[in-house]
Amino acid sequence: MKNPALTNTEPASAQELRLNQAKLGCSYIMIDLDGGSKLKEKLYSMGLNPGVKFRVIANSGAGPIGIEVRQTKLAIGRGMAAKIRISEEVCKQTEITIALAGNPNSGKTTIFNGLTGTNQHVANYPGVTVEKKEGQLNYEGRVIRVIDLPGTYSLSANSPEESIACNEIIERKPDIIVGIVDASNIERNLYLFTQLAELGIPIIIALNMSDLARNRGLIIDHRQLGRLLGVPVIPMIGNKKKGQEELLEAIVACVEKDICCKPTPISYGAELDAELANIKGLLEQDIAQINGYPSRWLALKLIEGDEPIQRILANHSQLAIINQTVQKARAKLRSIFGEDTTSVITDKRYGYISGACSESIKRTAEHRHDISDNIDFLLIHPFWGMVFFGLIMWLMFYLTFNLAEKPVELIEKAMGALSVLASNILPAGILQSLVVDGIIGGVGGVIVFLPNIMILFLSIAILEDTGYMARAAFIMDRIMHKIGLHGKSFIPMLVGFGCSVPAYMSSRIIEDKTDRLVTMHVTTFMSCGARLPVYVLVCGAFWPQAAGNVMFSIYVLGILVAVGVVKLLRMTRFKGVSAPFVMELPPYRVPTLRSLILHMGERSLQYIRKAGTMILGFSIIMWFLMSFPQNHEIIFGDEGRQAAYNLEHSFAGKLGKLTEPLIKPLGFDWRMGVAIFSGFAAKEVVVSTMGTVYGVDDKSDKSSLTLRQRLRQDPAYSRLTAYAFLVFVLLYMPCMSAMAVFLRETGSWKELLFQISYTTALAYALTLIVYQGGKLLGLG
Amino acid sequence: MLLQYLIVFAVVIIAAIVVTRKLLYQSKGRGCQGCNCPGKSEEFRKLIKSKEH
Repeated sequence: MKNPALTNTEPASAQELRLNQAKLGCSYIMIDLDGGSKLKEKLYSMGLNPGVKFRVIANSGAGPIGIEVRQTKLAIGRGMAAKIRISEEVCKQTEITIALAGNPNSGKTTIFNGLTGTNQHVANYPGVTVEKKEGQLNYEGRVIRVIDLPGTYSLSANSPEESIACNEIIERKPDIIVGIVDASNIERNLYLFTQLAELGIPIIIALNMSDLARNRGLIIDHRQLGRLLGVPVIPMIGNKKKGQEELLEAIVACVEKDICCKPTPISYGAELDAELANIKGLLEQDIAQINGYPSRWLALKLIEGDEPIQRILANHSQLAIINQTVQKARAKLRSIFGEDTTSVITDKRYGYISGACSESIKRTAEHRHDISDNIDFLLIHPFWGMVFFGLIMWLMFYLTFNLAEKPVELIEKAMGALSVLASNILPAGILQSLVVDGIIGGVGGVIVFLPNIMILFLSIAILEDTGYMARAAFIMDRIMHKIGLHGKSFIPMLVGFGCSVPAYMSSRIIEDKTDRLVTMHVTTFMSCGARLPVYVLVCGAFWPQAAGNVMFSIYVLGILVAVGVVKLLRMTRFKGVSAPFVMELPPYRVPTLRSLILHMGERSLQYIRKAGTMILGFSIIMWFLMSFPQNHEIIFGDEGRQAAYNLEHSFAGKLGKLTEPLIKPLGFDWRMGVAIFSGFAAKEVVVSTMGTVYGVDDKSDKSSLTLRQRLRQDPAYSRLTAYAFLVFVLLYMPCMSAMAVFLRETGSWKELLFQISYTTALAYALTLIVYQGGKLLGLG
Repeated sequence: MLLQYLIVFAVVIIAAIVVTRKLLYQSKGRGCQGCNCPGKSEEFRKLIKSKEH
């Protein structure tokens, strides 16, 4: 194992230096001071006397220099520092790499955010982090690189995100592994520790959610636990940043002061230990071909029958003998224990954990039913669970529309006033049209729906942080199984209500490749947040009294279509049986206000940023396409009719007219066609394009009306057309970002083309049925 | 009037550049709304391909 404490160490030098030349993070020995006796006395009395070792904790090149000597921090002015003679002794490690490893939902990302000051997405359900993330922090002159790994239950990687965690630990070999352990579920969480302990990398255990454990009647003597496991154990409350300082101190102490962080080796019993030693010996005969992996760990994995290990040993000269020995050992152990070696090893590990826990944990109350159990009695009930699920979803969309209504009206008014102001300031002409119709009409049309976005993401954050999302997956498991998927597939689908990109990525939690592909193919029907402005615009325009309900119906339609498509895909392209469902139900937690505000604020900022870049750019381009070529010929006396004529003969108008025969059966005119087409870049652009269309088109006295009012008064729209439009927007191909991620995640152009073509064809077919069916029923 | 046209064309050209850059950025799977965007999932893709799921 590499020891950066040594690799980053510079040898001692006889050369004298001055303190002002000292490097940040390095340790030196004080030689003496050029100065009078009073000055010397003063420094000596503060602990900086000749022969003492100190470390530089601040030296920015200007201003005082910070040093740590005798556990005291001193700031010394540069003038004084130039008089202090020092001898460079040891340059301590300035860079430490730590990996945060632990079970899913143990709070790794919360601790990562706390340490690095980032705002990576966290939620109360397993599988939120599916890709490693890296950040860094400066701690007392050192740079600590932090790797946040996806959650894993073991090092026998069962799913792709577990493989990432496993490979990262084994191949990158961080200086320290910080094992994040959910204190309220300590025994299960320590199982991973027993596997990490085999890797020979120093470990520190962060006992996260200590408050929750205490509330559950668990009193953990962390010092005793640490002594038994052979590693420092730090109690923490990640979301309150408690224990963070202690963790950092332990990390530094582990690397620099040789504090013992090497776990006590686990004994698997005389028989198994003997077989392990035998295989280990064979492995070490060709040490170059074990690629730096710990030989005992490899031996253990071979006995467990871990397939990927064979790849690591592909070039080992003794491979054939090793395999034979492993087979014999497995057979022998099976005959001794009467069960598979994996079960024996698992039992031994749990035995070890159980022993350590019984010596260090006291239970103050017999655990029977806690609040989570009581809530779950209702929320995962086969019947009432579904009812609650429906109610919660309905409430989310009802609030998204109704709570935001007043702020939306205010922003609409502000945008109207801004248009009037711009019209008054700018002279009538093309520049005024660009600003008023293109920029304010387009971007303003999207910005007005910011309150809806905020409420939707706040609701999603609450559902995620409380732990309800995992319950939703559990409830849906029954339905999902019937159609050929399992409840775990519902997690990416729920994430899809926010954005399809993380949804595609979170499908990594699904182990089976076929299940994962099917899930990704239908995740797009979970209406993402970017589509929300379109729904709010259209529902608000045509169903002002029941907009929340209509929106809810669109989301439900998305789920129903997804269910139908899964069934279809399972019967055709992706035949097979779904894998069994094993998922942890996290305890309910009260979300912190900070987390909710962070979550909502981040999404809202991204929405505003998008409106200020992509949507602004697109609005200007769409305005150009709708305003050029310029027609100066007056054909109609009426200004409104003339504007409509000009628009129809613009570039966008001509392009739109080309597509009109195709979309006419759906009840759409060319303007809707242009809006739908522009949604390829981002779904919000559908709204900004409509804003620009109505801005350029409408030169009558109605120009002070909001976009919703203009839509309502447009004779091209009926409620049936509006609903058909919503159905099409819900189902047609995802935006460009989502498609790019889909391609990366599947690694297959064939799957991407299938995704684009079938979603768009389905959108067309269903919209056609809705519109033509509605007409037949006399609805439009 | 000519000045207005010049300004408008300049703005449209800048917008076209911004949008093109954004679209190129997005085509790499970035710039989506509200997510821990994938800087790279190439590593993951390789992993899937290497595994017999």
